[in-house]
Amino acid sequence: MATTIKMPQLGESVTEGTIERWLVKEGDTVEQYDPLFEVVTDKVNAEVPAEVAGTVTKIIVGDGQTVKVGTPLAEIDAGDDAGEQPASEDRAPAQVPEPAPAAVEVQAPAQTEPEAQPPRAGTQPELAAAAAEHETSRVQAAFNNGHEADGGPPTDASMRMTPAVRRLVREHGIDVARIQGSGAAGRVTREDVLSFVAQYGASAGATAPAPAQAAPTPQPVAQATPSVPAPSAPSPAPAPAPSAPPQAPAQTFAPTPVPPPMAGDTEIALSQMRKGIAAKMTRVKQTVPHAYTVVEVDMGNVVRWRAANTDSYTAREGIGISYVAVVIKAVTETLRQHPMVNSQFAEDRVILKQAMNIGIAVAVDNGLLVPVIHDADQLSISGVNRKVQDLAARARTNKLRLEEIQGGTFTVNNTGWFGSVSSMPIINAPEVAILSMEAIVKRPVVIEVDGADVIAIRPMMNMTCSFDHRVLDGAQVGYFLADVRKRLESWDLNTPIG
Amino acid sequence: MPEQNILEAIRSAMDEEMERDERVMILGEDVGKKGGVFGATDGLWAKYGDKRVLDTPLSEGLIAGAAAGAALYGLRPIAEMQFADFVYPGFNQIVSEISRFRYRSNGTFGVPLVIRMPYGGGVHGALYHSQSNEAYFTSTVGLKVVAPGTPADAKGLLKASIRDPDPVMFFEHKKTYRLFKAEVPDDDRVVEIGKADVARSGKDLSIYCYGYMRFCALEAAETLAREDGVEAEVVDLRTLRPLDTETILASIARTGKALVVHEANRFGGFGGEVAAIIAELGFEHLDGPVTRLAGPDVPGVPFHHNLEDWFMIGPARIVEAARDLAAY
Repeated sequence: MATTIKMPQLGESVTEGTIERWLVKEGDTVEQYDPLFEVVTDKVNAEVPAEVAGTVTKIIVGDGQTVKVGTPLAEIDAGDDAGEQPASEDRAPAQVPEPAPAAVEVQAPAQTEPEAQPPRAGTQPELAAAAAEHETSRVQAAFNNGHEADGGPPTDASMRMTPAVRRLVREHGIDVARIQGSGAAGRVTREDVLSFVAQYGASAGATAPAPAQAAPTPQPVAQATPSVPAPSAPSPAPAPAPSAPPQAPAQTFAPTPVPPPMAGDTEIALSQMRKGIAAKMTRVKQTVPHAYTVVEVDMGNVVRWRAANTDSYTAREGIGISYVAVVIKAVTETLRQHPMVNSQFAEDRVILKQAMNIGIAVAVDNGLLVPVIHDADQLSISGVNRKVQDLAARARTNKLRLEEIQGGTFTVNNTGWFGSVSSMPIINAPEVAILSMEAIVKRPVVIEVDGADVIAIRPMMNMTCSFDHRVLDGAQVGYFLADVRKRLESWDLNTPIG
Repeated sequence: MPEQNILEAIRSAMDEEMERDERVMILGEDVGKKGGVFGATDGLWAKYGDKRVLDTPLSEGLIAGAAAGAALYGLRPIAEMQFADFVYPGFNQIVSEISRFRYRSNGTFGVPLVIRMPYGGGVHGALYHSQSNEAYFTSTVGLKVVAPGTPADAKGLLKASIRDPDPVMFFEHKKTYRLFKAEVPDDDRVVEIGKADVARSGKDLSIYCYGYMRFCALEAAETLAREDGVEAEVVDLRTLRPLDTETILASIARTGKALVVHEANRFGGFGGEVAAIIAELGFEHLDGPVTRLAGPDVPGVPFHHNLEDWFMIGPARIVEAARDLAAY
């Protein structure tokens, strides 16, 4: 029985991947989980393992080709007679994406629905039952039920966009998530988009004011009454813009114009990873309202604890103790008391995450990856420490597995290693907060000793937290940071490293 | 301008065309001395004589075939099928011969005839006097199919049909014959075949209809405006083939929502073609599912009043469907 290998979805919002190279050729026999090929996406490079054991009978997409997620890439014949592996045939290699991470992703299942539609259950309709209206509603009900019974992705009507809404959103460069839907089940209607544009202007979808643009308000007036199906035809605006020359439909995300390169300049083409980082950072920074808080932490106890344990630990494990592990430990313990900080924003609701999967930002050649320590709260300090080392090392050598870049619920970012004392990281949406640990710097600080102020030299560390202000407010994050700080400042010298 | 009902408008169109062009003649069952079962040809036999207004045997095959022959020999026949339900014995002549002459003769011969047919239910006519069978003809290449909904359109379109160099199937909803009166031009004005009419402007959804459904849709639109604040645009297609795609799409671009209404049963009905055009060519303007409201898929319009009411599409049913769509 043949299994079709498809281009996996390597992470949320990834739509295509490039086959870097095949690690097998036609006719090869593979075991389950043997690496099949290397794939490059705008987010990550990964080896994709075989879902089933068998013989590679056909390679459909060759090295270097870029195809959409879900495209058949190869076939593996398990060699057994039919029926033995009922479930494996259509299973996508990649894991099913988590529930509703963001508006964009939810569209995809909605579009593929019709395929799943069994039009009629083969009943012989009586005349009355065959009456047209009943017919439609019955088919529709069967279709909807069937879909949910499948365990297919949830279909949240508020996340569905009709073609008209999609077109308007695209034309006006709006983030549809910012519009309150008035249609059935909260769907955003065409009218909703038009009145949003009329009220806030085309570029209102972005959080930051678009600097390079003239006031966009006059534009929507003309846009609000499309009369003919010719979107590019400039309709006469009743209220002409006084300053701005007539322009194409206002584009929020219009790039800043760049003069052509001059002699001696060097142009560097963007790598897939760079493109991915650019797209994601732009999207997140424009759609998530960031706010920031900084606290200072006296790391004296942690530094002493680490100094006391380093030699024996290094002898035992062969690696040093990273401050990152200590901070992650303190963060996970604190997150349990502040579940809102360990949540995801899903536009119409907040999902408190049970798991604590901590992303760690790792600089790699010309880029950045955020591997995830799954269930970090269940590991000892040593366990976290080894994970950090392992993931960072494999991130730098492109050896991460898919699941190791997915499913994060909170991110810790160590900017201290390059000496930063203050940074304002971009949130790894749909997570709602990211914490930067800055450099530990010996500084003179005023402390109280026996009721008297004295100046002491302490190893101080700033912790910065960027948070999604739709979900969290300053005070909440302040309490969270204060608790992390308390844990670190009162670090027990006898804390077991595990 | 005088006020006429649809029946009177149709009669004056034929009268004026017979007056204008002596090649124009009428044939059908009881169209002569009796003036037609509905009275559409009343007075014409007396005025133009039995050479130009012919009573035929009860043979629709003959009516269609003789009309085709007369047309090919240079006359401009108007054939009346007493009820659209009776056309089937003439179906072969229409579908296999009349519709294909232009094509078969490499453009040399047209068959310039009109076949008038009262169609539709709601008059307690039961299975043999209520059919809406336009889809058989709209799916036949080579025929023009017209279904007016107002007296002025009935007159103007019938005049255009009589003058057309190719065969036209002219559907007259029998319930509209004496339903209402309206102003009708008494001059030689024709209504161009292939042009839809935006009968009412609106911004919230488009109701596509023809024939009697225009009357129902307009009434529904008034109710929707009054009770729901929903402004429905009513597009009367008037000609089903050739279809005015441009007007259909311009309307969907304005409203984003389409409700396609006809009395004929849904499955394979003409509304499916309209819906497909909207979905295919107007996709990016759609803000809701293209919706059909059509007669139920049963073999005929029932006789019993309650069941006939259950079958018929009227203003209330249109209001209901439009409400759902507007709220989508």
